[in-house]
Amino acid sequence: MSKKFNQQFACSKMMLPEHRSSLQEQSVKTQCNETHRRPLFDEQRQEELQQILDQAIIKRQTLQCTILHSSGYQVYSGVPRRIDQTAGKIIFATGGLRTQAITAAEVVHLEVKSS
Amino acid sequence: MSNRVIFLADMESFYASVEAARNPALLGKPVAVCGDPAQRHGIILAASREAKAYGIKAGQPAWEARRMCPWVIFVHPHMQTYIDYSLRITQIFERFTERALPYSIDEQFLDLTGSEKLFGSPRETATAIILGVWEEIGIRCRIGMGENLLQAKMACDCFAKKSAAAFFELTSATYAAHAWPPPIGSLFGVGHRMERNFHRIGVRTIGHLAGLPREMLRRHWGINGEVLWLNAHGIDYSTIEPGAVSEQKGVGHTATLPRDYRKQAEIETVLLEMTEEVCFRARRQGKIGTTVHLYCRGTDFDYPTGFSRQKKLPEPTAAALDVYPLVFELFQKHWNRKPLRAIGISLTGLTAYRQLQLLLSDHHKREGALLQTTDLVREHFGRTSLFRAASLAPGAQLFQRAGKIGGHDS
Repeated sequence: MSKKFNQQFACSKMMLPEHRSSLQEQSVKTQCNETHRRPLFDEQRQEELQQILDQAIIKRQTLQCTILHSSGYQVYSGVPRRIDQTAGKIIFATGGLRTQAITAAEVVHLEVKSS
Repeated sequence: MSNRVIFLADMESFYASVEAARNPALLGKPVAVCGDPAQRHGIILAASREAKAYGIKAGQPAWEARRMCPWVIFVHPHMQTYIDYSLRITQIFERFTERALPYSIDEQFLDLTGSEKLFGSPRETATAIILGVWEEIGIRCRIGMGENLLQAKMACDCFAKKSAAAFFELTSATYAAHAWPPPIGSLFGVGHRMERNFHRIGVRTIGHLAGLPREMLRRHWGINGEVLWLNAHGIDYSTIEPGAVSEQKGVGHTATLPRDYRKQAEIETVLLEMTEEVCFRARRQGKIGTTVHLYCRGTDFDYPTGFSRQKKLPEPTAAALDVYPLVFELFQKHWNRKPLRAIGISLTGLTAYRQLQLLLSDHHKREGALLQTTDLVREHFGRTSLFRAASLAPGAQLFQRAGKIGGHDS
């Protein structure tokens, strides 16, 4: 069957290249947002994460921390030093004297790494 | 297939409505969006409802509009703003369905089949969409509904645009009663030339066309004739797939020249610039093309001249210097030495560049790296930051068109 029969509107559509590429960008962004939608935590889960974090700070345990950026998931490992309440950050020691500040709101999973 | 619910959502006087939405001082006034007459773009692109009341229509020259309504307010187009508004409207549509097919900057097909339990009856859904666009964007939206895309388009163009409810529904059962009485020129796919052809054989209304044998139309006008017969009967096999916009078979660029081009050297300069532009666009998508298509239109509207020809490239490419020799060859072979008004070049049969990357010779890899670098420079610092010397020659268009969208100010 000729394309004209089943795609007459695709054949005749009038799209500016700039409009088309903007639509493609928007569609990629939407897909990305859908794939990387932040899970909603209930109070119990939030307390659970808080406990893991508090314990790890006290016991100097190494935590594996999964965070969700707009660009996707990232996993960090390190010993949490303290929580900066004002900035909403968790300060991790990642080896030597280096530290890494992680936005608390982006944390989706915490796990104690067995030594 | 009979239970499909297809909408065509169309924005009223889109460009003029956007201008009024961003500048409320224009609300309720006769507004016409038109380009720069000095650059041969003094054509009305859109007229507000109030301007239309004076008989001003899209496609009219600005001077004619001024004569019809001396206090009409002319506004220069802002193409990027229109694209941004169109994207915001698309986001509203996406709350209702993921199966959307943008047909132009102000028209989109939406497949709402099976969404009754979520949003209510089709009429209720249409009302919610119309209200959403009005409240959030400030633009009037009209919706035509049908069991296929053609019926939705006809419902919108012929009826919803004239209806106070801004909604009209056609079905296969009601199609003949509503769509057959209007003049043949109202049928989707019938342009001025085809309308003249139909008038010549006594076809005045859509119903007249529907009454002709399908075979006769096929004999006269081939597939086009047959598709028009199907349209007259409200039959259409088009579908809307999710993500339809991402499929792109070709990259093209067409431009109306600021004046009639007569000299071969000037035309060749524009051809080279346009080849550069098309190749740049293809490379930006990581694509290379297999066929180049050249379209040239003469200056005489009454006796149209020009040509439209294509040629296969020896090997897939998106390098302007590989594509240009074929463009030049097509031009040399088919140009009748008459002045030109518009030129279009497209690269089709696109494939992903990386598929061929492994097969490239060192020479091609070096060329590819050079193109990548020049593209980066142009993307960061603008199209005029790095250009061919030919763009300084008489007739060149690079500097006039840089930063424009669709030939108009962005």
